[in-house]
Amino acid sequence: MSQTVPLSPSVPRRGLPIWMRQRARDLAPFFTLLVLVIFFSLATDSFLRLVNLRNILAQVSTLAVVATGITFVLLCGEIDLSVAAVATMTGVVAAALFGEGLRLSDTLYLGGGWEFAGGAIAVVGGAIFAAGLGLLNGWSTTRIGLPSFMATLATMQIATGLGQFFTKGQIVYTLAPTLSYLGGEYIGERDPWRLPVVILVGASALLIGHFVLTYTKFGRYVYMTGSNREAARLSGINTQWIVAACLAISGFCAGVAGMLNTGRLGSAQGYGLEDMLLDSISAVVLGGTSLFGGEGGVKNTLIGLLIFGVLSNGLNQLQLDIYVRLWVRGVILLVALIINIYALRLRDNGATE
Amino acid sequence: MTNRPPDHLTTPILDLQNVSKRYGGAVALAAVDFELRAGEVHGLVGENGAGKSTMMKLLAGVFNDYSGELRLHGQPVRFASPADAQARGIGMVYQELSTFQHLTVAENLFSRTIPTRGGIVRWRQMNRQAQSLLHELGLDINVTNRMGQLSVGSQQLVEIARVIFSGAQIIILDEPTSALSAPETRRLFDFIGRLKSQSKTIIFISHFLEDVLEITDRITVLKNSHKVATLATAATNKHQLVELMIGSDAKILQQMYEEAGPLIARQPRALGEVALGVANLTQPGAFADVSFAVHKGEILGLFGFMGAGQIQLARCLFGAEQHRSGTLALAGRPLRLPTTSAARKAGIAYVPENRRNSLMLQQAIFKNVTLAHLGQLMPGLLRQRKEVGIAQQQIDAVGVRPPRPMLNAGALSGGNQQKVVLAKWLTQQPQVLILNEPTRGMDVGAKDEVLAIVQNLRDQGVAILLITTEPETIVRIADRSLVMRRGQITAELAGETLTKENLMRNA
Repeated sequence: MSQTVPLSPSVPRRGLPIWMRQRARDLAPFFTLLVLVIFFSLATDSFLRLVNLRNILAQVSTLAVVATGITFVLLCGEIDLSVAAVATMTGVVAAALFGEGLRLSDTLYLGGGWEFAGGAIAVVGGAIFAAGLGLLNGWSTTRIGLPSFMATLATMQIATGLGQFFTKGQIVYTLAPTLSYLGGEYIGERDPWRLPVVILVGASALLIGHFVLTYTKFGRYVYMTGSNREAARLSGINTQWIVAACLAISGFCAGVAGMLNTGRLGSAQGYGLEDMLLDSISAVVLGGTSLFGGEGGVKNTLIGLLIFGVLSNGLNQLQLDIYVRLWVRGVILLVALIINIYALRLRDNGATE
Repeated sequence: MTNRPPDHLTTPILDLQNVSKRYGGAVALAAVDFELRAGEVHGLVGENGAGKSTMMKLLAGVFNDYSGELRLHGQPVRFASPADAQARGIGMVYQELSTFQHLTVAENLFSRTIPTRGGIVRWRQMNRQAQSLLHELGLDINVTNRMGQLSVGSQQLVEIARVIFSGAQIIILDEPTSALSAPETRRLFDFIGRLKSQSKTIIFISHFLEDVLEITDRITVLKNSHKVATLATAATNKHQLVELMIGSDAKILQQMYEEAGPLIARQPRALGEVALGVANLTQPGAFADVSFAVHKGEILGLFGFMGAGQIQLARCLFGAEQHRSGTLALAGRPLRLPTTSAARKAGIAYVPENRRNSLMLQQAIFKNVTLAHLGQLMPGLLRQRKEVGIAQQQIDAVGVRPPRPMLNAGALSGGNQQKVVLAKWLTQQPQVLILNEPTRGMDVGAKDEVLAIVQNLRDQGVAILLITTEPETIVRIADRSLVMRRGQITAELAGETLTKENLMRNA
């Protein structure tokens, strides 16, 4: 059983077309973004205004935190369907932790110190809870051997159900001040220079994600596990651990996003984030990260988020009928994905010439 | 030397006249004559690359651009396609069974012709027919079982039954016994006997000469694309077959000299300390009671035909699979390998048999090279310039061409990919290097280079276990060699006795 060996090693030639082909995964989404920005700038008066651009960033900031986690999961070749549910539930859990603590400190006459300490406990507790759910996903995927698609689908149902079970449809208004600040406050005084804090949080998540994936061994192992899991394993890498860690990171990010969202809204509730799952996965894939692992990164996710934000915002600016907007958005997303695929074909043909 | 066979065996049902086949510039079959008599079991033997599989594909209609003539019942034919060959009564059972694991035995038997009425599958009729078919063939297998629940041996019998059911009079079996246990082989032979009595004709292709000698009526030997001889089985023996397959020793030396450059004479080497000790290692279904030791500065060969259990053994030695019983020791200390990373940390390096399992083809070469020992090479954060520098040194040392670490590994030829795999494990000197088919599918030049790297490592004191199905490789560079057959070590050869002939004889 002999393997076929190419007669001559194919070396891509240097030069601009090849350079572009090799970066097709990054360039195609960038091209899409550029086209959208130009189109909406010409089609509407309001799109290109500074306030609006700032709004776009603010609108995708919570999504950016979730998408950072999803990027890890997709890069190692898995999927996490539980992010929206974990986000919702974590928002509720953090609010409950804070509220119960507040009641407890009142009965114990502890005074005002709780506001700060309790806020920290609620946020950290929420984050640990979310990472725990992510770890549960990781455990069922690697130890039990469930496909992550099914494992996270189950977690999605459990978390959604528990979130609604605990709130009974009620809305919780007692929130840790930390969350209200991170999710809803501004830095600076006047428009357009008032900067929503949530943008900084989203940007930090992306930056940290990028750093970990690019400059740490763990990040490299994530890429290698996604590129070829068996080869990574036979290079002495504990791929199960890598996969579990990625799912835990995704859970953690989803939890943070959920808490941010409560801060933005000023309340916690057992519903309302249903779009987050599809939005975050589409943003990551739009940016050019492969659904099959190993290729892409946070840089791509950033572009994908911007495409997503520009598209949603721009369609609003066009003042299209709400019933038209949704399917138009779907069609444009589909076109963008098709462009990505074609760009990759171009690249792969270039590599085998 | 032919015994006169009984009369019904003398009519040729199929014959080849002066058939040649080329792949590009390479001759795969050269002026082969072959005669298959109705009702016989005809063995086809030869080394890897002797032309067995080309001949098998020709008979099965996989290609038809050959010169010469194929005659079926005396009539010249040229099959248009595998389906055409099948329609004319030639059935093929490949080594890698092409069964549907999650469908039932009946569905597998009827997979090409499911009985329906108005588009609805007639299950009851199908199951009844399938059961009676197997009954006729003397097989006691429940047709409602899923294929995947059956043993490999039973699956193979069902596959043969399917081929017969679709009308095959001539059945080609490709390495049918390589994955079978002894009792399963027995069952297969009984079955073949029954088919013979139902006047089916069988071509039995195998590396296992004992099996061929036991079950066939006549044997055709191929060597270097030529037919060497057709012998009556009763009048030959293993020794004669091996000799015909590989030629006499003097000729081999000559041939190897021409093919692979000067043969480095095997010098008796003082054995170093034991690096890796294996005692009574067993994994049910794969290998049993395997014991041996690899010493520092030694290349220990492990020869066996495909499916002898050597791949599972190698994977156990790297923690990629778990053995049931037995112990491992590294430099005298007990060794447990629950994961591959434990093996890597212990200083064991592993080159898989399949390059698809050893490299990330769409990642840059330098990332592949630094992967195994990233922690030691890059304390702290990853710095690309330093990393690329390390990779550059490594790929220069093993001679990867083109020597460009930023290129994707997939852009390299097979031989150069294998050098990258070696480079990956050489960023830190391993204590034990396990090579699984390190030169498979490579041209002579690349092979030489890879083997030179391996010899160089041996000289630096690395203990090397060289697992391969190519006896030439072992004869060329191994200091000692084990032979594995059906999961057991059958021989240890060294010095004068380490010859290709002895390797093949014990496998």
